[in-house]
Amino acid sequence: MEQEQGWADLQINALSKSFRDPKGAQVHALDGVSLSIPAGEFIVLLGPSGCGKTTLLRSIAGFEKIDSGHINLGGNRIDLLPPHKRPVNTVFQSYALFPHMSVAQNIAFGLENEKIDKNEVKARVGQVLELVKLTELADRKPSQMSGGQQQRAALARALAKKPKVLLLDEPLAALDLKLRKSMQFELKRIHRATGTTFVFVTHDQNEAMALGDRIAVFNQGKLQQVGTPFEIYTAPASEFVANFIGESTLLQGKISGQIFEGDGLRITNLNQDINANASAKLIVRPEAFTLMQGQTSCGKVEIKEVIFAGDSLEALLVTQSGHEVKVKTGASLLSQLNVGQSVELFVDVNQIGQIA
Amino acid sequence: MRQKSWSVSHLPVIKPLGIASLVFLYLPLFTVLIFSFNKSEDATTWGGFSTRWYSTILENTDLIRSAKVSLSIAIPCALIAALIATGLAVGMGRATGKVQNFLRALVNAPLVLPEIVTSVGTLALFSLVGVPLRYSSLLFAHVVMCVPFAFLPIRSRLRDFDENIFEAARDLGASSTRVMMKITVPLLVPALLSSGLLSFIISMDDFLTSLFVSGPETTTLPIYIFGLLKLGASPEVNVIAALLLIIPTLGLLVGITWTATRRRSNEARNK
Repeated sequence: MEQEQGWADLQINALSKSFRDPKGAQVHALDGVSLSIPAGEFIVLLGPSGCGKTTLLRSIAGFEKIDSGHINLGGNRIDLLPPHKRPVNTVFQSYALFPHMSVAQNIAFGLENEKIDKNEVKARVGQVLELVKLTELADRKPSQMSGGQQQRAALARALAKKPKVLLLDEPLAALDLKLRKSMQFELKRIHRATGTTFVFVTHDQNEAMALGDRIAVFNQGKLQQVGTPFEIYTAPASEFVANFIGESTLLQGKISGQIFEGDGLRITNLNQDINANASAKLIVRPEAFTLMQGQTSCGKVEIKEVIFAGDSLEALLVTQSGHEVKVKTGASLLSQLNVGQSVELFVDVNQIGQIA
Repeated sequence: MRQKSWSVSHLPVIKPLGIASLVFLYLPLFTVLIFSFNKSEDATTWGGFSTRWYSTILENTDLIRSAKVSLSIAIPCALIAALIATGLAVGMGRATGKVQNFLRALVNAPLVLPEIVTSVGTLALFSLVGVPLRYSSLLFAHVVMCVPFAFLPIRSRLRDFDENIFEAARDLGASSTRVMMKITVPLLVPALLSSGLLSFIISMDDFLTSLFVSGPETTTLPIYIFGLLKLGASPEVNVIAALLLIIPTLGLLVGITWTATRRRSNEARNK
């Protein structure tokens, strides 16, 4: 299905929304969020539950009234329009298929709301059914389909409208792991085939990494960081992002003359982009550490726990000051590592990130 | 053997008590059915089998008239009450938290109020405002009485829906009227039917409210029957009661058979 409507960038400008929780306390669901999403991008809004990602999605769809800020789509302000007048469509977590209509009728419903010619409706329904591979089940009622099939039907229904932006609210959350994986590939394929902007909400960091051209990480109503999965993973902007996406060890100490000292470790030869600081914070991913000779030495550590993960070993180590360090290292070391043993820890200085 | 935990149902009196309740529940129904075929002039002494009273009631114009009055009240009452209840239930879904609780309490309260209170109140209000006791005033009183009952099945059906369905319809470009016509109403059909049926039965059966607000032109069936009893128990009363028992039961059986067949043929088609 080719993109017929013009390309449209989505601009979110200083969006704020707060409401009162049942106890009467003020909660900032969105706190001055600004985000620019170029047309055709697959962006993932990631964060723990209650972080504001779903509120942002519902604000774009028009189901939430925002307190301040505005939303522009292709230069036109859309945040004052009612949901049915916005050129965006939503795939709901619960699918929200109409139980009294067949799949084909569900898809046609959206098209019949526009003044589209009957034959055109039929053709478009056929097109999207083919796109999501549901042609054979066109006459089934939602209750006669599996979760994965309902998911595809919901996707087809939203895509049939040829939205400028497709909003997906944790659409894979209700599927089992295997189906979720295959739907991730399907979503990538459908995104490429349609060229539509996808805004995808999830709390699952692996799903975010797998799907997003870019990931926007949210916490407590604030946008924490936006970047490609690679940027987010290798250069997290904050401790929250570092901990929410993948595992990491936070080292706190003093940096001077490209040497870090703190938490019972001493790392020399730090990269030039690491700034001197009397109270510095470094983020190190488990795979940046190793117990094999070759990289820069950090000092002696004691082995607290070793887990064999097939292709690698995951070890929990304790430095001399009692700080815990997570390491992912070669599986070949398995026979040489014993709990309680003291070993030398090495690190790849190119993979050390600094946060403010 | 594992000891079963004790519960009220193990009391020795429970079983005979249960049987006795069922007997007392159905014995009058059987009695009235049998006595509707009584030959005797006296409603309560058996004088042999006959269907004579079934033919006499067909010639009883007062009876037919009161039955017509009852139907002409109950049918529009069911429709109007279901319509108002739908509006209330849909509207209430849009209210939030405390407002919704308050509104729901307001609608449900008449269910637990003694009917005599509302009846006297309605009559007092009618005389105060100067509303004559005609067909329209009786219909109005019946609708008011039925709305809280009609509200229950619709509200519970609406609550079972995934709220996102309505958002999805809006999201797909439907105006609120179209959401109502294409999504809300079709999904509410079963609830609308039970709500209308409930209102119909309550209206047909009502005595107290009708007694207070009916005028000479609007004698309903229950009031007419009560009048017959005041003149001494006529065997016609038994026949009317029997018919009121048989007709709805037959209707119910037909309905159940129809839905069962439809479901079976639906399942067969999907296989």
